[in-house]
Amino acid sequence: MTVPRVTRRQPRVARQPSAATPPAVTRLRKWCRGRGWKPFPFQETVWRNMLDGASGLLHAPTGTGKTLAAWLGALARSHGRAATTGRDQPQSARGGPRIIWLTPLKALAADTVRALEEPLADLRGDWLDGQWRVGLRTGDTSAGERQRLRARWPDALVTTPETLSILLSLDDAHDIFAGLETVVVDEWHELLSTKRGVQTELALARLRTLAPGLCTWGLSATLANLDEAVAALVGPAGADAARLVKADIPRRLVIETLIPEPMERFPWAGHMGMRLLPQVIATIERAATTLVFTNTRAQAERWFEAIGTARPDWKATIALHHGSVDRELRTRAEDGLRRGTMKCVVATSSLDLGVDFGPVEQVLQIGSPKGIARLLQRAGRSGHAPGATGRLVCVPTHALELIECAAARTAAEAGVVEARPPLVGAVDVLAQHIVTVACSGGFREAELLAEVRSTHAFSSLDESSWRWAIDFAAQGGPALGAYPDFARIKQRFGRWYIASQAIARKHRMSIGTITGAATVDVKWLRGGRLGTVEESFISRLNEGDRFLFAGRPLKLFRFDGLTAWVKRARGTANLQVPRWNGGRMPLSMLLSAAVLELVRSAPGKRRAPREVQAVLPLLEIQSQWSRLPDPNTLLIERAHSRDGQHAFLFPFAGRLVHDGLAALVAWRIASRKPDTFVLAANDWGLQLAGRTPFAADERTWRQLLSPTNLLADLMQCLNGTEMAKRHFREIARVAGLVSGARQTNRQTQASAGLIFDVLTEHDAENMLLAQARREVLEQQFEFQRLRAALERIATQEIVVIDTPRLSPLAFPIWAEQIQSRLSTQGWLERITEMARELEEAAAG
Amino acid sequence: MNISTADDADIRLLPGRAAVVTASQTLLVADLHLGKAAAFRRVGIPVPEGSAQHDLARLERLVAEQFVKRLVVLGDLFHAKGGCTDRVFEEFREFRRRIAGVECLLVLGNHDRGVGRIPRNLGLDACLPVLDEPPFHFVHEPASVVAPASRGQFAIGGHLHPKLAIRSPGGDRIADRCFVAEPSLLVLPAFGSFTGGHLVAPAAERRLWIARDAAVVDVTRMAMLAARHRK
Repeated sequence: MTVPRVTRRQPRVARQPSAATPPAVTRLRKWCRGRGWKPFPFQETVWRNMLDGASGLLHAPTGTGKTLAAWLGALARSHGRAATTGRDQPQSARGGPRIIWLTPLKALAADTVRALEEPLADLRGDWLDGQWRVGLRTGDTSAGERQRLRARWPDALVTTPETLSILLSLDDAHDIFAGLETVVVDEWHELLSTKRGVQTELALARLRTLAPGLCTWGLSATLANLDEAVAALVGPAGADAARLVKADIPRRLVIETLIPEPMERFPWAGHMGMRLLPQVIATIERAATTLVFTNTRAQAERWFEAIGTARPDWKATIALHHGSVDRELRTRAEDGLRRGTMKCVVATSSLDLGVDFGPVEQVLQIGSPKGIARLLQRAGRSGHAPGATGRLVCVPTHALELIECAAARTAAEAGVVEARPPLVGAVDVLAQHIVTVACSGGFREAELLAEVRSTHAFSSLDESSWRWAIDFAAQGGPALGAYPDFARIKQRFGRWYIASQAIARKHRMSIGTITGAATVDVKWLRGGRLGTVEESFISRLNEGDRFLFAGRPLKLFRFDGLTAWVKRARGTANLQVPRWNGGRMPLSMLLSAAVLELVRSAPGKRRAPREVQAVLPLLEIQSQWSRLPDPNTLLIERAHSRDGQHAFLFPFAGRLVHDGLAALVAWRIASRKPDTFVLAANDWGLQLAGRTPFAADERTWRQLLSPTNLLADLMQCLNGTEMAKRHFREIARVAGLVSGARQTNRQTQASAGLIFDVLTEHDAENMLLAQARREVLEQQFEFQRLRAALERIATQEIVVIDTPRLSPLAFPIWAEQIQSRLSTQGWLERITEMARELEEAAAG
Repeated sequence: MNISTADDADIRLLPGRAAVVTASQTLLVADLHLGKAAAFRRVGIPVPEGSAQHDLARLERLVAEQFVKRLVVLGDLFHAKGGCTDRVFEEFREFRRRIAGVECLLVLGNHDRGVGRIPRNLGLDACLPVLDEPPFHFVHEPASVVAPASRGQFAIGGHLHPKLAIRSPGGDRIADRCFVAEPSLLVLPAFGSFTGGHLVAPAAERRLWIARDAAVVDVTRMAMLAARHRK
């Protein structure tokens, strides 16, 4: 099999609207000249298209001037409209903003305001009205500031999708948005394949209703599915007329990989990769400022601690940055990066996005980048000084990751990139949106349905799902029809309205689609906040236990249910590191195929990439003990250890698909005869472990891996696991079943798991349950990819090999920390078995 | 105090999260939280009804099967004022009529107190802050049992909603509600099915039983081994 080629459709070349240069473009050129540079052709194309009233998507690598293209274009459009309508006055008390700038992270919003303010200083009073203002409203905006904004709206408002939804729920949303001219969605690729993207699509459709003639622009990194990105942004009906503009400016970028020396001592498995610390330190030394990216927060904590211990002289100039670290500490790290006073900042995806930090010379990526787009995004955070080259160094955490690094590097160099498919049919987001619209003056069903269907996400929404969403908003679903004590929206004379102001208030508090696990504050005993950590981690610790957090060794002094009070701990040995959920992306499909191709072709190939040459001895062992996998064969290894019997399968389909496959195969075996299996997966393959030997013949495996009855079998084994229940939490939050914030009212506290049980028992038809199952299939197991994997396996030869011990490919899967269990045994049998295991372990 | 699932125990632990005091033929349950779903709906959270009816039916069955003379609810029979609709009270009255032959006492819990005035016509024979029947001391919150224990009494209560999680070396995990016993104390798991739980840890002189609908299993040793294994 070859690397799947990305279909790059011919972009609709944005046409030049008119040959003559509009005065606004001349004015903007002049402004650029005043700053000592000349606008790029793509920037002028965007300006002309916006002046023309067209919508569209601008895609380019990070740091190429997308912001100025869209911002100056929006200003030019606003200026032109003002000239023709005579609305060249500062905003009156009643009028709302003319431009909305949506940013995916509220942490970025303040930076964005600063970036937008910059050209205004020159343009105000000359070209624009002297009073032209940019405002900011996010979830962090104080009540007083919100009042001031409402009293007099700024001309341009920077906000997030959640806050936009809140604004849409206000009584006077119609008045606020009637004069809106342009909406710009920044970092559209980040929102695209998430529920926040769906929420944004619905909000944009609403804005198009409130402000006909609205011009919508998205800014995005390059994607394989730009057409879908456009359709999701402007709605399928508007997609044909929308323009796709590519910022075609070459950016120099160098990608390398650290090769461990000596290679023999580099581990076969592991997540931290500390063995490369000396080389990492040497790499940091050679640049003035380095950004170190990790894949998980635990990795970030460990690496920050290790770098600080190795180089105490850097103490004041290194910082840690991840989503759980307190905002103030993060801001300090960002300011340091901006001013160039930082030697090195260790970060997770918390720094993937945002305004560029000029001084960053190089980026280190700890662990496999897992995707080409992600590699490019992170690499793009370096080399923004004029004339500089971006530079990214991959740091593998175990031997086989070298191959992933090689695959990502070669693909990036070849200009290949993944797709980000937008989500469709999220009824939880729809239910939330219906209540939002009901809050702002109500709606007629037919009108709102047409509006909702104008989005990409709900273009094929069927009547019954719509009916259910309305019912759910009105009375909590059909099962609750008999309870008059519950109603969120009520119908009067053919229009739906919010049932009460109290419910509107509560709804506004809970708008949003981001959900997180329950977290607790971490505070110094002597005062000061360090950040937040997951409740599940803290509750496992005892008072006096030591752990690493926010880059500091801490000792838990007391945990009172809301706050973990800590003191500084001495020494860094044996510290526990919180394991935050999430953050572990599966290897993208493109990369999986590229990795398999590298593994297959490596031994015979004289000119294999350097990274692959370094692991050749390991691949040699693999082919001696077992064999090398290839695209035409599914390799299955059988082995036994002290833990019992193992089967390893190597479909190379990504971790999530392997999770699903492992559950499916285990369930298919255990449905014949009650049994219990331990499952583990990584991006290359999966493991089943049990007490009895696994089949050795190809025929049995072919049955176990058959694509027939896939959906039914997967649904069955989902019921046997806790997965749907775990996923329900997020859905329940979005649909308003449980509150995201810590509830002040103790009378209405319940975990999502508990509500899941109640619904399963007493309202089995609830569509949110169906959605939970569907989302597990799609998001947890990447169902489409899983089916494709099984269909591919059906055409492959299956080879079963008994290995004398765990092979180099099997070992990392066996060592995976995250394992799950699938059992079809009764509860009593399970508990008996657990008792036996515990007794054995205790006996030694 | 002999606590076990055996017939001759002083306190018999039953499947379905209840217990029987053999000497006085008393069935004990704690934390039903009736009306919790209604309390949720009142603030706009759509939770269906069903769990309360299911729990009362289970309780009725236990009363019948165990041939007890008396039912003592160890607090938090009702969830909150906002959830105590006429319908919730009517369902309880209906239940009370069906077990008319047994005495029915409520030891008040913090949630019951929050309900305000509990109607007299529910059929409860008494609502008491505590019930003293030496050697037993029935009370909702076992945190307040230090004094009786020093008088040599054995306290039985609820309130904590104890729950236990055990992980085996092989990776299996069981998390369920449990009974917790200490030398002078027994805490019952929450009886209501729409109630959460709080994890308890094994400790010296603490016995633990996982309480399922179908069985009660003594897991004191398992929990201890599992805790030690994780260290």
